[in-house]
Amino acid sequence: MILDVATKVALLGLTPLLLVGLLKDKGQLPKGEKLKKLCRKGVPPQHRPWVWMSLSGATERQREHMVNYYDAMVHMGESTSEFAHQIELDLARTFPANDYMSTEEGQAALRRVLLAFSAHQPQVGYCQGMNYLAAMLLLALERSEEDSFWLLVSLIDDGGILYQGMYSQNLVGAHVEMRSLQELVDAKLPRLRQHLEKLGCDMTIIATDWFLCLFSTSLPSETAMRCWDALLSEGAKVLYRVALALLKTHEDVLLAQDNAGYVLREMKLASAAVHDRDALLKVAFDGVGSMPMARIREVRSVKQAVVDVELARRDRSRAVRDAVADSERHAPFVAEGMSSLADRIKMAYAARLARSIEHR
Amino acid sequence: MADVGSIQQAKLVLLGDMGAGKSSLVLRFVKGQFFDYQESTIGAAFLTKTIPEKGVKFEIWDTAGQERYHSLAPMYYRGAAAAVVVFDITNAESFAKAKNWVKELQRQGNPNMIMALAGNKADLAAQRAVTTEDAKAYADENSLFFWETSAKTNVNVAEVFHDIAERLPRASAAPQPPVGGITLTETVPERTKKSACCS
Repeated sequence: MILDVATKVALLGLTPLLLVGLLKDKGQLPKGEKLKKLCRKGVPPQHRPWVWMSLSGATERQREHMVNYYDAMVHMGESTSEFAHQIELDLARTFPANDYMSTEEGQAALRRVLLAFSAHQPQVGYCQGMNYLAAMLLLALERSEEDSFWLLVSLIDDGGILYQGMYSQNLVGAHVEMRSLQELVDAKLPRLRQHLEKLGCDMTIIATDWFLCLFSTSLPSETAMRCWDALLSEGAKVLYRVALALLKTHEDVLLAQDNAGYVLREMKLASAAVHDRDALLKVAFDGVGSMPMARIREVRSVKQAVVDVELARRDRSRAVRDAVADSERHAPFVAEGMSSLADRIKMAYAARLARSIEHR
Repeated sequence: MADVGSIQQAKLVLLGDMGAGKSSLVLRFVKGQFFDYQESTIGAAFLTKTIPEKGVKFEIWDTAGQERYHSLAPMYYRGAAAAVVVFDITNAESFAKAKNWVKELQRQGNPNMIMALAGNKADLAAQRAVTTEDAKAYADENSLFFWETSAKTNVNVAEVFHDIAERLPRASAAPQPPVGGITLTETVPERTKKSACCS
C-alpha cells in the first residue's frame, strides 16, 4: 500500500515541516537553521526518543563507549556508589503523581540510571535535581534506561549541553548561571529588575530550580518537553530564553508583589499553568531580543571568576573556623586561673593555623 | 517584623538534611495535608500561615536539604526571625547535620533568632536512631525549643510554630531586612548593596 504524503502526515501526527526532514531518511535529521526551526516548533512525542538521542549527541557518546558500558556502570553504582542512600531517599519523591514513576518498576529504573551516572561521574555523584531529569528522560524516551543514561551524560558531562559544574559540589555552575541570568534580566527587563532589587529578590531565588531541573518541576510536562526540544538542539542558552519569557509574560503579577516570597510563590503558580507552549516559546525566541553566544560566554566567564573567588573565600573562612574549634579541643585548659593562659595558647594556635591555611 | 494591623509578620526558615521532612512539616502546618511521598524541594519554596490568636503571620521559607545546596542557605536564613532545624529520628546522620545547622545559625544569624529543633518522623519510633534524651539534652544546651514531631500523624507540628509565635518579640525595634541577595561568603553578615554580590 502506498500512502500519499497527506495521509502520512495524518497518520504520524507530524507537522509537515518536520516530515520533510524525516522523509529524507528515517533517523536522519536536517541540519543547521532548518533543524533549529523544526525543534522550536516541537518534536512530535513519538519521535522524541531518536530525535533527542541524535540532537544531544547521546547516540554518538554511546557509540564511543564499549557496548555494555551502561550495564557496567549500573553494576559499579549498585556495588560501590556512596550516593546510593541519597538516591534512595529521592526515588519515591520524584514525580510521585506520575503513573510510571510511582511504580516500583519506574523507581527501579530511576535508581539504576542515577546509580550508573554516579559511577560514571563520581566527582558529581548525585545531586538533587538530577532525579527529575532522569525521570523526564525515562518518560520521554519510552522508558529506555540506557538512552536516558546517555542523554543525562550528554547534558551534564564536561563539554555537554549544560554549563559546566551545574551539579558539582557547591553547585558552582548553577551560581554562575543564576548571575548570568540576572545580568540578562537587568538588561532586558529594567522595570522588573528595579522592583526585584528593591525586594532583595534575585534570580537565585526564582530560577534555581528552573536551571537545575530544566523546568521539569515548574512547567506542565508537555511544555517542559517542548523547551527540551529546543534545549537539546540549541544548547543551554535556551534556558535563559525560557526564563526571560516566563518573567516577561508574568511581569505585571510580579511587579504587584511586595515581598520576595510572594514573588517566588506567584511565579511558581503562574509557571505551573503555562499550557500554551507555543505562546511561551514564541516569546522566548521572538520576544526577548538577541542573545549572541559571544556575549553569553563573556558574561559567564566574568561570573565564573566572581563565584570562584567567593567560594574560595568561604572555604577558607570555614577552614579557619574549624581550626579554631580544633584548637579548643587540643587545648582544653579549664582549671581556675589557667583560663587566660589557655585562651592565649588557643589564640596563638588558631592564628598559626589560620596563617598556614591562608598561605595554602 | 513589620506590624500590619495587629498581625505581625515573621520570617521563618526551615533547614535540615534531605528527606528529614521539612516540606512535609510545613505542608502539614500550613495546609493540614500530608503526602507519603513529598516531592524533593529544589531551590526553595515559600508559604505563609497566619495564627490569628497569636497575632502572627509566618512567612516560611522551605529549603533544599542536600549538602551541596548549602551555599544557597544564607540567602534564606538572613534576616529570619525564627528557624526550625529538622532532623529525622530514624537517621543519626540527619541529627549530626542538624547540629551543624544550629552551629551555623548561631554563628551567622541574628542573635535574637528563635530556634526550634524538630525530631521528625516520630511515628517511626520503632526505627529510632536518635534518642529523645540526646536530642533534648542538645537542645537544652543550645537553648532551642525541642519537639518530636510527626508530619504524617500530625503530632506536635502546630506546637513547634506556636512555641515560636509565643516567643516572638511583640514590637521589634529593628526592621527586618528583606531576604538578601546571594553572597557565597558566610562572613558578610548582611546584604548591603547589590554590588556586593553580583558585580
